[in-house]
Amino acid sequence: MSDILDINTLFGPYPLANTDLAIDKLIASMQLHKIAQAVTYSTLGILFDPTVGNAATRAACGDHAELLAGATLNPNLYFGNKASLHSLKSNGFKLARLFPNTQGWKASSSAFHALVHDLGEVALPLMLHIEAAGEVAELAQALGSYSAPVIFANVGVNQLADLIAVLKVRPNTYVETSSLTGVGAIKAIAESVGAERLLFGSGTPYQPVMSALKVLEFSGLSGEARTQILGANARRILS
Amino acid sequence: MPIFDTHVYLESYPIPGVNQNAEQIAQVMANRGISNAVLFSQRALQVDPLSGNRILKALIEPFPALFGAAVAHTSRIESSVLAIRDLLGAKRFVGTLLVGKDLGQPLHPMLSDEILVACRRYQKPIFILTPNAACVEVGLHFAKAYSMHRFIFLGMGGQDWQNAIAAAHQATNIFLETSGVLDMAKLPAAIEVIGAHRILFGSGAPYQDPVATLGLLAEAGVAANNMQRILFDNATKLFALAE
Repeated sequence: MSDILDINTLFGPYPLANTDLAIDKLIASMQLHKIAQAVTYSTLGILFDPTVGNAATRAACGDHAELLAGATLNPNLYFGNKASLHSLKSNGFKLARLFPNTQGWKASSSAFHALVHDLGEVALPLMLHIEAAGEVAELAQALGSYSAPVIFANVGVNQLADLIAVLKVRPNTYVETSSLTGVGAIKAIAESVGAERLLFGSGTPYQPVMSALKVLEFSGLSGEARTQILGANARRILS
Repeated sequence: MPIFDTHVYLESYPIPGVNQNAEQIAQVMANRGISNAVLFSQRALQVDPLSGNRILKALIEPFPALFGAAVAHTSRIESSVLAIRDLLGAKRFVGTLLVGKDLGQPLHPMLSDEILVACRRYQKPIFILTPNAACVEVGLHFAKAYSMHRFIFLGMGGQDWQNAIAAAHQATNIFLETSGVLDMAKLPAAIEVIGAHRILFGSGAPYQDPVATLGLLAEAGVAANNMQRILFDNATKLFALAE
């Protein structure tokens, strides 16, 4: 069995896809590509209700030992219930995901600041889905002194300069690879801040794992660096 | 299997050493097993159609596997028409990319007419950027109004790929290029509705590594005969390169 850990997978109904992303599809995709473990979340958590989504994620991860639970949180629905945040960790969630654009909030949101402040006590890794220009820097600034690992997801080549600048000044920040599909993007990050800051992610079963694997294979990085990115880095920060 | 990438950009990429000249592009393509590519000048796209297209022509000259498409800008009609007349007679220039002021916004038909008329005598395809449904809609309008032209929808509608497939279903002179979102569902859906003969492999390199799009094709379960058409045969036929 390989040591690949995919930090970015999903399941559930997804309007952008023309069919539901069934959990069976995710498992089949992992088996096809010899992915040993995957962090996953239910799309219900971003598109409908985090509580419902997190329950679905917990159930799926309970049924499949190879799946690690990623919680979804929405600052727009956070009213200071710290106990709910503490229960995430005790319920086995490995990280918490936030989607500013899809969920309709900005880095300047006071609710986001409050959520980050309260999450600081839990020290759960955060995964932030980037869509807009300048969002990486704005979110990084809003994180203040948050000390647990922070992973930027869905970052494209046009946000590369902003991303690398943030990675340089915040040692607890990382980036997942599913949208780093531009020629030379992964290598540019590795050469600027080290391969240990990159985490393999595919977006499967919505996106093809093969694309993410091939882009990494052709990144020009050494086999050792690619092995780190494919699993060791994520295991280190999730442990 | 030879591979023809129909959507590659020259210059203006955030990472140096990737596409600043034709030699770098040829190297990136060769490393990935891409045999041929159509290049678009970003300089022509963003600044000046006349000089950008001429630079492209000079740069691809020593690389027989590389082809060019003339960029025509609706806000620079005169120089765009000059560039078309200057370049489209050459076999190495396989078509015209029609763009407007904002690449994410649909083209304005009134401003596009003169350029589309100027292209008629060359009988080479028209490339149109289709990052969304609105651009697809205008592309479909062009396809119906200019039935003598063949239109290539670059990016296949982006997230709105279902609109692009529907447009290609309505107008048989529309071809879909595979770059855009890496959505597992889009290629099987396109093949089912319009067949594989009007789908062209393209990556949008260097913004998207060709191996990412190749990964999409491989994982989407495209049959071998259709794969050959999409990756190479359709492009050589459309660009009349076998003649």
